[in-house]
Amino acid sequence: MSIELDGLTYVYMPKTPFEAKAVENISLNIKDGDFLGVIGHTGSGKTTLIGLMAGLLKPTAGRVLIDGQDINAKGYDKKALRRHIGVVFQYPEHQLFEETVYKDIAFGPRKINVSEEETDLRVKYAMELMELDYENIKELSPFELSGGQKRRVAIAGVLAMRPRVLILDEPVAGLDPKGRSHLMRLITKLNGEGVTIIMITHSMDDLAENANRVVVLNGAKLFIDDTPSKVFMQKKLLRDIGLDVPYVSRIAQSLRERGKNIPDDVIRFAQLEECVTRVLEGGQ
Amino acid sequence: MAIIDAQDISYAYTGETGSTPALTDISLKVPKGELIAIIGRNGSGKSTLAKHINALYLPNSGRVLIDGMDTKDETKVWDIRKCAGMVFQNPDNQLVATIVEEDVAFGPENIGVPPAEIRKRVDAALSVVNMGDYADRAPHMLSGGQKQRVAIAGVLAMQPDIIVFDEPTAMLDPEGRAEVLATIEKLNKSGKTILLITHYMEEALFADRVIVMAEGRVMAEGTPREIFANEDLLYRAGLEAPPHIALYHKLKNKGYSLGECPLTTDELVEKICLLS
Amino acid sequence: MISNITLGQFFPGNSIIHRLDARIKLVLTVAVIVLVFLVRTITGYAVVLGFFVLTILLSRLSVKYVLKGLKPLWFILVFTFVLNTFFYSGGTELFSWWILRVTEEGLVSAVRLAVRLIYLITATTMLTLTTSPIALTDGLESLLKPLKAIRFPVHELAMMMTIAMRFIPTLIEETDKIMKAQTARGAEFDSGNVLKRAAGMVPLLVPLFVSAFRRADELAFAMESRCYNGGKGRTRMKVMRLNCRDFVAAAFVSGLMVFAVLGF
Repeated sequence: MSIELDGLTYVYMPKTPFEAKAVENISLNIKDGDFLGVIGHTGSGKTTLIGLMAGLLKPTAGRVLIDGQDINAKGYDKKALRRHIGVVFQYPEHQLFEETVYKDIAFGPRKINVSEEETDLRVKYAMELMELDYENIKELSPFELSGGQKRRVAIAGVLAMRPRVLILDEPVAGLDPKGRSHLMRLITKLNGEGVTIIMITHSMDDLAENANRVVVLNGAKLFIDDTPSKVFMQKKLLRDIGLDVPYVSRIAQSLRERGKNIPDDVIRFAQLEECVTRVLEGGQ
Repeated sequence: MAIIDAQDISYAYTGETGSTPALTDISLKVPKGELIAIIGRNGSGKSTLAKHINALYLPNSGRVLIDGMDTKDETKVWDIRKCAGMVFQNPDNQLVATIVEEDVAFGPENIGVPPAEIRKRVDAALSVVNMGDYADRAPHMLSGGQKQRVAIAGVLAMQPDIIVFDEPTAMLDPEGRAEVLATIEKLNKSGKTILLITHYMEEALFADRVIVMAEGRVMAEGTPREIFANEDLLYRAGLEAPPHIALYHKLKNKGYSLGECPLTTDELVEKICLLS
Repeated sequence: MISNITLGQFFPGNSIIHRLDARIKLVLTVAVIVLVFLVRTITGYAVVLGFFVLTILLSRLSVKYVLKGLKPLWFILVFTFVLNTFFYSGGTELFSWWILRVTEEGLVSAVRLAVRLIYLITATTMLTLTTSPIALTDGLESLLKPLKAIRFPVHELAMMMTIAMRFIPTLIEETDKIMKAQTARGAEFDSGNVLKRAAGMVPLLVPLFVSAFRRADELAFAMESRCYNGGKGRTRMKVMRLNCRDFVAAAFVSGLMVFAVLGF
């Protein structure tokens, strides 16, 4: 499933004194199986961009093409889109509403007219993916669960629709470090099974470890579009627009400045550990 | 004398399904002017402990003395809350008024401070948190970090000696986090006793002392270096070390003698350079 | 982004009318409404019109903006006018057709009523355009203070109104977020018959309510932490003081009242 953004622009509150361009002339091609990270300072247009991608917002100009078709053209079945593109917004646990965990996760599939048997399979599948104990919690009220569980139930609700593309807006926000790494592991596993991941995040470290592509937004425009290594090498450029680089890059950079031989593209922890060990063993 | 003195406190939440223990035999002594970080996983009891400091919760057993006042003493509740202010996690759900300066005035208004004095306190508090230019703005137009700083100003206007921060940066973006942490540091330097509750270890690196909580108990207490050097402790408490400290652990386990635990990435880089 | 809209119809400004004490404006608005129903002669109506024109000029607001307040109510105006014109009982008939009778008295009564309604709406519009919601709440709280004697919860009411106003933009944003999230799961909020739509609101309303209760809980903790203890012993940073211009305005409107009572 290919997603192509062609000259997308979105203007908030047009013709009022509050008019502002949230997204300006953004063009982007997202390939099957990508793990795309979207970063940018607050207000740079990230949330608007994913709203446009998922067909929840209508662009002021430009097109969103999914498998070659303009999703905002007359006659395009937006409901069908819901089967293919899943969106997990920030603090997704705030959208839980059903009486039981099962019913909440089944909401999506039922809405897109999936048969009851298939829905049952999908609920089980989604809960398994999110490491939720089906037997023990399916009949509980979602409001009785812990924060981390609630979040995973909410995400399961989106996964039960079996999207080919999963868009996530800061999925680990508010979780404690263990919760974060657990969820990131699950998201990466999903990507491994072929789901295209588009993720907005402030955590450069998470992207360095898992993404294959990073898109940087600045002031509503597309600033950089490249692999994580190449993006995080540009420390000064990122700092200038209010962004930071992963911890690992910072350490690598400092060591380089002291004359140690750490290759430019070291952005992952395992890589850094290996290089530093080599350095310490006397091999410059 | 410690300005915060919690003596063997225990607390359990009572619900429809019986009671759930949240704190068990916790003791804590904080001298005036210290910056204490309390770290632990979600559910370790940190927030519950925080709410005992300003008498929002009363312990089932044991007692909490704030500047000598017992939190169970009903006549002293308002004095205790004047002495120990609290900033919460959700920036939105602390702001009560429709414009910033009126919200900051809320606290002093509640304790009957005369109008002219309130004005002075509001201006001073907003200035400390660098939000003076936003005095006439509406809260919903502010960023998370700005809202949180207004909340801090609201607490400062009551002129507390102690400020408890209950996961103040959990809902903020990196910019907001940096703003709030800088403000906390500034307040500590100006003499306020600070209790910073967080699940971000990086925030605990600059505390005078760190307390590690797990499952309602104090697991360990010590300086940041002592605590973070202990890999096993962190693991048992369900915490994850920031990358530079994780790297330090990995290298130490490989046999390299890097000395004591580095608090900053620069310290780690220094140690590596010294050895190579 | 919808939250960028200012609450009510308040249009900030620095005119004399804006700077009048909120309490005076509240009281005088009520007085003006009474005035509007007291005047009977054409001279009377003209004088009231003059009063409104003067007020609008002094407020430095554009007439167009003020008349905008009439837009949502134009239907009621027309409806009342038509009802009175065609269904007025008694009076000298001008012409009739089927069950509709147009009489001279009917027409006059219709015009009177329409004019009165327009004056009424203009008076309240002027009040909300020139007085911020906070000022209105403070003014109301101050005016209702005497009711404390009969245990009426004046302060609590004002506090509830302030908090409601504070959170309305936040709640609007949250509603938008939840709608988008549920739409992404296939929910539809704008299709189907009345019953279907009502059921369709559940995925929106339940999360909103849950969130509202959580907010209230957290806000209560925050307020208590800042020593909130009801209205007892509370002071206010902003003190309302009556000015020369407030007395002038009061005198002016009182004069008009006398004028009306005298039979105009």
